[in-house]
Amino acid sequence: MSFLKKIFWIARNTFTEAARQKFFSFLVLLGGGLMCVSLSLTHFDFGDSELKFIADFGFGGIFLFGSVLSVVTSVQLFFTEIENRTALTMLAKPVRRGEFLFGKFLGVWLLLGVFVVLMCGVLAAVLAWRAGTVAEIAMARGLPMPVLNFDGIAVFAVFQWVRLGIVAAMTIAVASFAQTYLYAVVVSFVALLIGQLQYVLADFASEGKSQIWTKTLAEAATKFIPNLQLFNVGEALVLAPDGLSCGAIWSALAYGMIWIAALVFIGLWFFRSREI
Amino acid sequence: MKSTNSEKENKIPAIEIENLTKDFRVGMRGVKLRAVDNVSFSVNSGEIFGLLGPNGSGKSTTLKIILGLLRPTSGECRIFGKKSSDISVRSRIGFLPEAPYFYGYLTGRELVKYYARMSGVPSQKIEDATEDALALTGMTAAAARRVKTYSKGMLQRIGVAQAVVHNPDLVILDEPTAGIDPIGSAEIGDAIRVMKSRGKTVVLCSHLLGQIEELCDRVAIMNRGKLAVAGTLDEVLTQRDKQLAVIGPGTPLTPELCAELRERYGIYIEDVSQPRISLEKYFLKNLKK
Amino acid sequence: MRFGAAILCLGIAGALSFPFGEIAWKEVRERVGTFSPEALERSAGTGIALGTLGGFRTVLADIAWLRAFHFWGKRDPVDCMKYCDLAMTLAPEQLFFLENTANYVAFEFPVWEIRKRGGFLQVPENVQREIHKKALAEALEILHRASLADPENPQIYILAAQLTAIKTDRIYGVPDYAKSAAYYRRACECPGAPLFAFASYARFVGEHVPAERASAKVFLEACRERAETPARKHFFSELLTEYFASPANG
Repeated sequence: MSFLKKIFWIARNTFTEAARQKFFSFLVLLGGGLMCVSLSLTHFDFGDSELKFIADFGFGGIFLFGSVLSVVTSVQLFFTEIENRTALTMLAKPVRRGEFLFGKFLGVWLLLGVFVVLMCGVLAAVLAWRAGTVAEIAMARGLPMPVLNFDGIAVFAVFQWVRLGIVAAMTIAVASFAQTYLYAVVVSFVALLIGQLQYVLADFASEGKSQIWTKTLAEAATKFIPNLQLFNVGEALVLAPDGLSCGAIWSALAYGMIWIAALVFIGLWFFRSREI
Repeated sequence: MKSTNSEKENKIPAIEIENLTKDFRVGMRGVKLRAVDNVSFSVNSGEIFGLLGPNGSGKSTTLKIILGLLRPTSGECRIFGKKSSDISVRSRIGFLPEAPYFYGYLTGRELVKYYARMSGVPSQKIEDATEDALALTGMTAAAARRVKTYSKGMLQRIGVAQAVVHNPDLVILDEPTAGIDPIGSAEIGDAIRVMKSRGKTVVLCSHLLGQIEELCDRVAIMNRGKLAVAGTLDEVLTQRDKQLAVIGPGTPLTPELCAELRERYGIYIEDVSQPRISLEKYFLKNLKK
Repeated sequence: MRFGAAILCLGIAGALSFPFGEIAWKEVRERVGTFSPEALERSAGTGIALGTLGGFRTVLADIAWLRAFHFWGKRDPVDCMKYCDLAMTLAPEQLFFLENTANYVAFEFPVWEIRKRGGFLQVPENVQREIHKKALAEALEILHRASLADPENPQIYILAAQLTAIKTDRIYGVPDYAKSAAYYRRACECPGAPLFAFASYARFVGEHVPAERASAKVFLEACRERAETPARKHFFSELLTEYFASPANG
């Protein structure tokens, strides 16, 4: 059997196993439910449009629950398999460690793709439903019509999928050398937070006020951490009239893919010499 | 020509281990811990081989090296004449680890099929191979249930099924009967006998010495990383300096008679007792359906 | 050794992805309203950690604002400001937080401060004036910081102009119309400035800042020239007629 087939079957099995778990259904229901609940919370909003409030709930839900799903599932389906000796049964077959790890990653990433599609579907439905009412009110009062870009939701879904792919790859890289479940989960979440704040380091490095050595250190650090805020573009894609340029979209996706490849490679690097 | 090749193959030991040593680095300082210390033995094709030893004796480490999951620090391990690190040799090996956890959300049949695919079974043969492995381990009736609903014994049996689904020449079973009742244990024993009858080599790691004694042709006993003894059961267990006679019913083997036998014929009887069957045999005889 | 190789790999990924990241980030940065390092310094805390998790910003900002409002009710300027800052940091694009924070700082905080020192009858008038002056400066500083992040938003300058006009008018009786006019002028220079900003600018300059009259007239005439609709042209002509006594030609 070719290595591609093996990777395919490992990915498919990982996906099937993860999709049948209650944790996945729970997060899907929680995320979807939260978006629906946001409809009744719009009176909490101060000075912003209702659609933005709902969309913000959706964007937040997708990333927060997606990140939890990404970290927990990656650790569970990779690290726990090593711990439980399930990986032994697999690696005792003619399966290379790289095929095993890459298949695991693809399975988790596929699951995250399904999660993102489901969540974006719910978000699009909720936004479409409210946009009609908001547009009627705007028309009656002579206010500007709300902007809602459904193509933008599709692009946003791809962006989130890539962002969560980076998180999953990061988690698998950590899990490949972690010795305990807790360590793998905590370090992955810390890495996620650092990735979210990477641009602050970059700003700090480019600031005139900082000292040379701190600037250099900050600038060096930014080169080793992916900037996850690059994918935080829900508002620009969905609610802004002009969206993002094609160049920016493709560059962001290329950026994400390079990081995914590097992090999976690092995971493989550690895993190949791990004693299991 | 084919039979000559097959004969040649049969002469090649299934496993050859020479001066195998494995050290682990533990703790922050990387202190060296020797798990396997200069071990050599071989397993012949077609035999059932028992690898025994107390906990921490180095059995599992040795098995992992045989499976190519660990690299030895020094020494060599060959499977059917090829290095154990050669991935192609793994398609000839089936392995059941100790207390495994399988994909609980798959059904037994899905699980065995998945392992069949991973072992390189051609897609047109997967159905038959799966059903054959399920039948061999007596799991056909429960194959549609999800693995997470299985009892411990069923988990072990589905574990054996995944190990043999690709019809391997060498089957390595690490504690296949751990934690399961004597009936389940006997069923696994039966499956092992069937494997032997099909010409497979079986390496069995178990703490159930009774079962090992009953099944194995040869054994190796490890202790603290070293090989204590290796050979056939006869070689290892027979006390050459003593003899055993089974006296039929109605013979009054009294102390006076024993003294007379010693005096008159030089027969020295150390102990006199009535034979009894093992509890396991009683259990199997009376409780097995 | 293994970790060294992993770091090297991260570095290579960083170098390879950098050009792509730069192209995308240039565009994304100005659209996503991310937090500045200064903002992080001002309101570091759990809110930031949660806020940076990619969403829920509006929600968290609203919750922060509710907390700020709670402390506003308790007349606690320190905690009130802390949560105002957090709300503005989490949702820098929401004018509501900026406007209300600036108003709290300019109008509420100095009154609380005077009451804390014994009340309006006890605190000498010059001290009261100093407190108000300082409060106004702080409020304008908040608006200034907001204008740095969003320099072409006319609403920020209009807020500053209104604050300056009201504050100087009521408290000191010595209105600083020139400062108000300057803020209005800056608002008028932003794209999409509302017409009332032009009207306010014309009135402040026309009635109170004679030194600016010539410049304002030229500016408003230019605006009239650029106006795209007859109604807008008419609007600017009216302003020029009313405050600069120079009827429109044609």
